[in-house]
Amino acid sequence: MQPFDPEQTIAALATPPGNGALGVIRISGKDSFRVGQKLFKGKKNLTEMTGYEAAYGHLYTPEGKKLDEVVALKFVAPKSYTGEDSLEFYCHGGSAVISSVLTECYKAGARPASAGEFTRRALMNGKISLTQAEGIAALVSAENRQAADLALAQREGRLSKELEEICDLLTDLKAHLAALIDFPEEDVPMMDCDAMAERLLPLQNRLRALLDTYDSGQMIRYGIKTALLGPPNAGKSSLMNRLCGEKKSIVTPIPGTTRDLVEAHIRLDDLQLQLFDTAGLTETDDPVEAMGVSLALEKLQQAQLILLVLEAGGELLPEKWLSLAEKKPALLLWNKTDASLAEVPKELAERFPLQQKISALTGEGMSELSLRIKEAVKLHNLSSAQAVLLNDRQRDGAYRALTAVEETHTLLSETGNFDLAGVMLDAALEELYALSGKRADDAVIDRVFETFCVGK
Amino acid sequence: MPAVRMEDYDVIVIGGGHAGIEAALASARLGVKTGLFTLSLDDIGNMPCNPSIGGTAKGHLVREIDALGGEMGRAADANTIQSRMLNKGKGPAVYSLRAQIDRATYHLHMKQVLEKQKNLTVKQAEVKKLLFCEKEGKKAVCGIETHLGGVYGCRAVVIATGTYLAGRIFVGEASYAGGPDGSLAALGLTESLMEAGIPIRRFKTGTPARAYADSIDYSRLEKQIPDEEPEPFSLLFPSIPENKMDCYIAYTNSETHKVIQENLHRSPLYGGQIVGIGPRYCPSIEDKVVRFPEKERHQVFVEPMGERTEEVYLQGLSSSLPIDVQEKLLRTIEGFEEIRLTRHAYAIEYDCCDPLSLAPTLESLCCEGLYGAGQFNGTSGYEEAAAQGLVAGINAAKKVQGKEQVTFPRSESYIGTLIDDLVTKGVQDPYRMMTSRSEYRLLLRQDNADLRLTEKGYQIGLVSEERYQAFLQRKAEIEETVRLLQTTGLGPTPELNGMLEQKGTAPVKNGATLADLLRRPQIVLADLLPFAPFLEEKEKRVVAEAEIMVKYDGYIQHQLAAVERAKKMEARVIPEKFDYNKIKGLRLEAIEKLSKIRPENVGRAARISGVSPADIAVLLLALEKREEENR
Repeated sequence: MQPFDPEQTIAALATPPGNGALGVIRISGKDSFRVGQKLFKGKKNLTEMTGYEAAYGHLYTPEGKKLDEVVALKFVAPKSYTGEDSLEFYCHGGSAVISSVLTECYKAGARPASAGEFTRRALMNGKISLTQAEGIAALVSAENRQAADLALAQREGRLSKELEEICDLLTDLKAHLAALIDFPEEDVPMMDCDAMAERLLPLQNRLRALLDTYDSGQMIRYGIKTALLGPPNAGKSSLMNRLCGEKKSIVTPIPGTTRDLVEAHIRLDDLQLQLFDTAGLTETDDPVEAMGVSLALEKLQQAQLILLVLEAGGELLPEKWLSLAEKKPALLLWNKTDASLAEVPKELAERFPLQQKISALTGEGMSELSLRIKEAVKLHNLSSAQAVLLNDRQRDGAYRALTAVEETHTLLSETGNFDLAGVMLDAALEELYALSGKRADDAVIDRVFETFCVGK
Repeated sequence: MPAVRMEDYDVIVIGGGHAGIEAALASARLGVKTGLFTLSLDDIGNMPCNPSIGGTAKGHLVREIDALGGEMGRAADANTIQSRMLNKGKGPAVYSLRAQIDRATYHLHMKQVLEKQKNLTVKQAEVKKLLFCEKEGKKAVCGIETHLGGVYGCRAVVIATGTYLAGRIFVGEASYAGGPDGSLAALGLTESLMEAGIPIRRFKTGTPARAYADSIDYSRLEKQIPDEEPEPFSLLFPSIPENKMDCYIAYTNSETHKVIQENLHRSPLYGGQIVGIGPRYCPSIEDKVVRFPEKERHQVFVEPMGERTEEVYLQGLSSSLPIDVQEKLLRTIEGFEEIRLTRHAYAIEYDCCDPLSLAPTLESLCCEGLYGAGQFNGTSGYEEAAAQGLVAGINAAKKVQGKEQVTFPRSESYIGTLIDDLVTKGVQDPYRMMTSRSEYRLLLRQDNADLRLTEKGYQIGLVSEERYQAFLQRKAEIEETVRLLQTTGLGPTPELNGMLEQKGTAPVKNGATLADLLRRPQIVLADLLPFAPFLEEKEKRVVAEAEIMVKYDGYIQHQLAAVERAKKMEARVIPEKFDYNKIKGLRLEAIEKLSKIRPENVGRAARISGVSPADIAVLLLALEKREEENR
C-alpha cells in the first residue's frame, strides 16, 4: 500500500489521458486553494472565493508564461469528492498543456496523486463505503457502456444493499439462535433445527446468485472468453475476420490453414469478446492426439462461450468435440447460409438450442449475433440494477460466507449443535461485514431484545 | 462533625455485595491490608433479587471466578437447594450451570468467610466521602471518611456500591431514598466521585414480589425437574450440591395483562418519575405487556428462597406498579388466586459510572488508585459483579504492591469479554453476560474454565499450591485421554459396524481410530465405551472433557486461528499519550471516542463503536509514520 499521508496535497489529471476536448485537473488536500492560486490569474481569488463557485481565468508559470485558459471550481471540505478541500481546473485537453499545468502544480506544493488516491481519501474520510470505492475503481476503468453501468450500480451501493439484506436475514436467524441459547427457560418461540435450516436455503441461493454475477461482471469488464470451434473450413477464420474487421486469420479454402491459435479482442455492439480460433485443434478426431495441442485445449476449457461454427449440410464435428461444446455455454452458428440452405439436423437442434444462421461472407445474420451471445452466456437478464461482484476480494469473501452458511445448514439439519451453528453464522456474518466494510458490533444482541420478549 | 483519624489500610473496598466480597478477599489473599466497609454486616452477600447463581454465560463466569481462586463458586455449592445444567442438547459450549441458593445461609457463609480471612477487616459504616491527593500531577485517592466521622487512609479504593449508591425505590405512587430489600441508600458518595471526575449516570432495575409458599396452589403449576446428579460450580474442591427444594412455573394470562394495561398510568415507569435506564434482558412485567402485546402469556417461576423460610420468589414479575395493582394482577394467575405477599415488587434507581471511563484493569482513567466493580460499572447480576470484584481486588492489591496490573483478554475468558465490553464498547443499559457476546465461545466453555485460568490464578497468587498441583494432574489426565482417543484403533468388527449402522452412519472397512469415529456427528463417546473399556476406568469428567476436545477439534482450531488474527491487531501498541487530534483523516467521532477511551492497542481501538474500519486504517498509517520518525 502506498503511504497514505493525508497531510499532503495531491494533484492529478481526473479525466482519461489522451487528447480529449477537456482535461480536468483535480487538486485535493488542505493546501489545494493556495496551490491553485499560485498558478491562477483571473478576476476572482481562489483562496478567497466561496465554495462551489466557478472562476474564469488563465494559468501561468511563475516566470509569467501563459499555460492555458481555464475554469476553476472550488469545493470546501467535507463537501467534495474526497471530503477534503479541493480545486478542479477545467483545461483544454491537449496532453502537452495538461502535462505542463501538472508540473506547475507540483512545483507549487502538491505532489502527484498515486493511483486511486482520490478515492482512497474519499474512503478514509467516510465519503463512500468500501464496495462503493471498488465500484468507482471499476467505473474509472470501464471500457464499455455496460461495464460502466455495472460499476455505476456498484457506486450507488447496490452490492452494499444486497449484502445488507442478506446480513439482516442472517442476523434474524442468529438472534433466534442466541435467544434460544441465552434464554433457555424463556418462552422464545421455539423454532426447531429443521425450520432454522430451512430459512438458510434462500440465503444460500442469493449468495450463489451473487457469486454467479462475478463471472458476468468479469465477462462484461474484460470481455467474454470465446472459442471458435468447428470442422476445418467451416468458415471459422472468415467469421473471425468479419468480427475483427481485419484479416487476423489467413483464410484459404484449404482445410486446416489455421495452424496457430489466433486471438483477437473485439467489440461486438456493447459486448467485448476475447476471441480465439481453435482451428488447429480439430484437425484430428482423435482426442488423445488432440491433447497434444494443449494450449488450445486449455483455452477451450477456460472459454466462457463456445461459438460452434458448422456449415449447413456440410461436415459435422466428431461427437467428442460436440460433447465438449455441450458442457459450456454454446451458440451454434450455421455458416455460409449464402451457399447452402440445407435443413438443420434435428438432433443437433436439440443439443444446441441456441442457434443462428449467419454468413461470414455477406454479413447476413450478424446483427443478431450479440443478442444470441448474451442469451448463451446469460447476460441478457443482467440488469444494471443488479448487485455484482466486481473483483476477486469480493468474490472470495462471498464464497467464504456461502461456505459458512452451508456449514451452518449442515450443522442445524444434521447435529442440532446450536453452539457450532451459532459460531458458523458468526463467521458468515463477519465475512459479509468485511465485504461491505462494516462491522457487526452488537447487531445480534440488539435484535434479540427487539424481537423476543425475554426477561428472566 | 469533627473528623476522627482512624487506622490506615492498603486497599479499602466500599460495599459488601458480590463484587465487594470478591474484591476484598482477593486483595487480602494477595497479602495487603484490606478493609471492607459496608452499610450493614447483615446484608453481606445478600441476594435482593433472584435466589439463584449461574445461568447462561453467568455459570461460565462463576466457574472462571472459581478457577482464579474466587469464592462465589464454592459458596454457591455449599448452599445449593436445587441445580440444573441448562442448554443440555444445544452443544457443550453453551451448557450453563444454574443453582437455586438458600439466600440466608449464603449470606452467613460469606460473612464468615470474610470474618475468617487474614489481612481483612470488615466494618459496618457508610462511606460518605473519598479523600484525594495529588500523585505525580494526577488526582489519586488516599482515604475515605465515614458517616461517623472516621477518616481511614488507604492507597487504593474499590467502589462496589451496587444499587445502594443514591438508591431510590419506586412502588406505584410511593417513592423514597433507599437501598434494596428495605436497606438504606448510600448518600453523599456520588459527589465525591464526581469530584474525582467520574462521569455518573443513573440506571434502574427492579425485582418482583415475594409470597408465602403455602398461599400458592402448586397442583395447578408445572414442576421444574432438577438434574439427577447436580454438578458443582467449583471443579477442584467441590462440596457436592443436593436438590432439596422444587421450583414451579405459572403463567400470566389475558386477564393479568388487562389489569396491567388498565393501570399503566399508575406506574412510575410510564408516568415519567423513573429516569434511570432499565435492563433490556430483565424487563418489568408492565414492559413485557406493552412491548409485546401479541404475546398471550408470560412465564412466572416460583422459586424457594431457602430451607428455613416459607417465602418464595416470583421470577419474571418485576414491577413498579402500586401495591393494590400488584396483588390484583397476581390473583389473575392460575394457582395464585389466594396468594399472600410478604414483600411487594419495587423498582430501584441508582447511580453508576460510565464504564468507558475505566481501564481494562477496572481502574478509573480519571483518578489514580480508584477502581470500580459490579453494578457501579453498569452491569447487573451477582456473577458479573463478583467477576469484576475479583479483577478490581487483584489490581488494587497489585497497585499497592507496585506490581504489574493484570488484564484478561477476550479470547481467554468471559471475565475478559465482560470487562472489554464494558470499557471498550460501553453500556446503554445494565449489562448482562450472554454467550452470544463472546466470539470465542467454543473455546470459553464452562467445562474447561479451570484449564483456561488456573495457571493465570496461580501466577497472580490466588491459587494455592495444592490446587495448582491438582490442576496439573487433571490436565495431564485429559491430555493422555485425548492421546488415547487419537491413537487407539478399532478393527472393522461386526459389533462395531453393527453399532455404526444402527446410529445411521457408515460402517468402517479397514477400521478407524476412536477419534475418527467420535468426529462423526452421529456418534458420542458413550457409543464407543463397549469398544474401549479402558475409558471406563478414567474419571468421568476427564473423559467428557477429552470427548469435547476431540469432537470439536476442527471448530476449535478455526477459533484459535481467529484468536491469532486478533492478537496481531492487539500487538499494535498505541502510545499512552497519543494525540488523536493530530491525525488528519480521522473522523471527529473517532477522535472523540479514541481520546476518551484511550485504547492501549489497535485491536481494542477497532472494537470501539463509532470507530470505523477506515478510521483504523488511518490510525495504523499514523502509527507507522510515527514509528518511522522515531527510528
